[in-house]
Amino acid sequence: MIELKNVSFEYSAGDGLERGSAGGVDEKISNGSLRGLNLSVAEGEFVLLTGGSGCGKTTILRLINGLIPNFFEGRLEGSVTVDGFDVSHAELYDTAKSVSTVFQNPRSQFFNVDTTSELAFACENQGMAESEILCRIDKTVSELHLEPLMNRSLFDLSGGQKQKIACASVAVTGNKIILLDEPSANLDLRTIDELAGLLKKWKKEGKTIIVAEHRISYLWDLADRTAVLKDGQIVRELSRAQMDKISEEELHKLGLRTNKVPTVVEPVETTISKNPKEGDFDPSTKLRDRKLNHHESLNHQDNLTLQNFRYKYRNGYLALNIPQMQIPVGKITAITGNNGDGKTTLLNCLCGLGKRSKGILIYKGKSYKPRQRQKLIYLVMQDVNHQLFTESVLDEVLISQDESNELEAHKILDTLDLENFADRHPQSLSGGQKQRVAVASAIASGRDIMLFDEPTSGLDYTHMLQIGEILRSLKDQGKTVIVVTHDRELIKECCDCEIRLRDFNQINPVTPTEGEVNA
Amino acid sequence: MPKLQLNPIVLIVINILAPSMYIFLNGSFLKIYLVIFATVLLLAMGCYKIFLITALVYAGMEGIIMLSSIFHPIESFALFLVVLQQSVPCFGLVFALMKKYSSAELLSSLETMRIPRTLVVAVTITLKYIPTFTREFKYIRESMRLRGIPFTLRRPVKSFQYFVVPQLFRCAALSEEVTAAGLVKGIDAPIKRTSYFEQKFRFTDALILVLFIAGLVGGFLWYKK
Repeated sequence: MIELKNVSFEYSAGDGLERGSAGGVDEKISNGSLRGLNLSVAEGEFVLLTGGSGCGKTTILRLINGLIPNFFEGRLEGSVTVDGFDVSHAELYDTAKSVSTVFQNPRSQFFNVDTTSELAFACENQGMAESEILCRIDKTVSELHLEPLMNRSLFDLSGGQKQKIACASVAVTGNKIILLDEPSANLDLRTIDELAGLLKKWKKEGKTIIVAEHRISYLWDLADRTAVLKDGQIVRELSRAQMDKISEEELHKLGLRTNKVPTVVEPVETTISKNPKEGDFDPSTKLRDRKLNHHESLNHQDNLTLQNFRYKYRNGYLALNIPQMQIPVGKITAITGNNGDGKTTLLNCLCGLGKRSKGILIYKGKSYKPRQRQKLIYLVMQDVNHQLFTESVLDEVLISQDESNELEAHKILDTLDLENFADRHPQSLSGGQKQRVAVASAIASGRDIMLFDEPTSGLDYTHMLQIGEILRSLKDQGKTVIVVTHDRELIKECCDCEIRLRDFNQINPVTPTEGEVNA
Repeated sequence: MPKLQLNPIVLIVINILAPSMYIFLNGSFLKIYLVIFATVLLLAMGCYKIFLITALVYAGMEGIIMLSSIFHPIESFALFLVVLQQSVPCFGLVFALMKKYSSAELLSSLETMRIPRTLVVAVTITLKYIPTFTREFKYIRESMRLRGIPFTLRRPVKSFQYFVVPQLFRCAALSEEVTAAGLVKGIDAPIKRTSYFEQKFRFTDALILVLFIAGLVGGFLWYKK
């Protein structure tokens, strides 16, 4: 059904800036190009494409949906056929009638501003009759239980809800071939579960599904076949039987993440301490039940104490209400939870952002109000692109220092393997390098507490390990590291303890509409 | 009484016609005519809140204008209000338009008006980007504050650069992704798009438009004498 024969592709020069997670210059990864690749996918087959960043997974999907060479230009050799017709020479709107794609970024894959029009969009473009579109939308909405999401602004939806709409818009077209490009990158465990359910349903319906993904665990039981890519070639193909047998070590050797589905509800080992030190930090006791007064908290020199952290939205919805929480100083703490548990709100509150952030942070016996915390805490955002302002990597570090000290700045860059890029424009670097630049300026700022918001979302195994290493080195420098994440592998890799936010955040059990959470 | 359902095109046409009529028509007639027409439409459509607000604003302006004949220092301000007041009924209708119809409905009616596809797509993207921009700017402002980079007027160019450069890069990336998303859904198919929100042009729509234009023409003939 889908046939890639001896395909080689190389993106045109200068086109490398925003090629998904790849495209970094000078980094020893390939840039998503393919070299003599052969792949054939039968009708109704479920194929998982995986491999490190820049291995060419996304490129394969773009070849099948025709974006290469119609939108992304480059040098293409070999042939790509879908149902016997050559998609690289077909018009995109013709390919769109048989192939649908779900992209990685839920923010930018919509062409409309509200949910219902997005569902109708692809059919409208095909000139389908109004009644037919109506009928299809109704069917999809009831099948996927999307009623609460209809007729809403796409801007008010959470990442998970957006991804649901993206999948639904694919379902509405009724196309036989469905491509998904890292669909789980921005989802929490609960939503990933739902996604897996949907994929299972599609598989049952006989759709041909190709997923490019780093996080393979939720797909492992669904896929009929796995192709592992490296440097634009398939280096290993695993049949169903081989997939069942493969060990985790073997997967890691291939540079892949674990195939074990992380349990959503962890056993009681919440907040485990790998190296349990002095008994005063014992989070298993219910901290929120103990009313610590200020004097008592002074004894907790080793802890960062959060008191009465609250965040209320304008509409009165209380998103965060933490009477008391302790975070160990000088350690790496993971904060986990599902969307809506208040992770991001907690980070904003910790940083003292937003006028409605309330609460006191006690650090080394001194209490800090929200405003004062901005000088104490550094946040590395999930999307580091928002944090890079200057024209060169070196400047980026220099403006973070209280007093510009170039020697010091070079030292910091050196520790993060960025010395060679000192004069480069931060935006010309790859995703991982940008993240390291953000960390470099965090170190340069000399602040004691470092927050990371989902640092490994959409990263492959190798890069995840790299982040783990960076976090550990920050800890070695005496920093207190707090990571908001749902990456169980990262937690296993480097975190000393884990705090499940739900256990501390005393908010109404009523789940808010996600729009409020996202506001 | 059931609320009047109008095709958005009617409101758009009225809003295009009304202000330009000041060139041809007696000002005081048009002023009163528009107030009455907008009032009737707003009430018939059930937009009571919008009616109330615009009516209050209109009355307030009228009050200030009247006051200016006694209290001279505000005369120039009142003159400005005289001009502004004329557009209040139109604003009322625009608010009703924005409140009653989603952007998709507006777009689909724009398409029935045979406005070129590229323009319609441009309008969609713009509509989509206003909230995106606001959000992106918020993130950037927050991260500047976090990094202790002040946005000061003392060094406007530098501050502006910090503010705009990340935004530009974001836009480049986002626009590429959005375009790709549109293309794989067949946005460029050279056929007439259908629309889920197809708005029929009904008898009442025509009636309202005819009444509106008849009123204008009537006023024109009456004052021409």
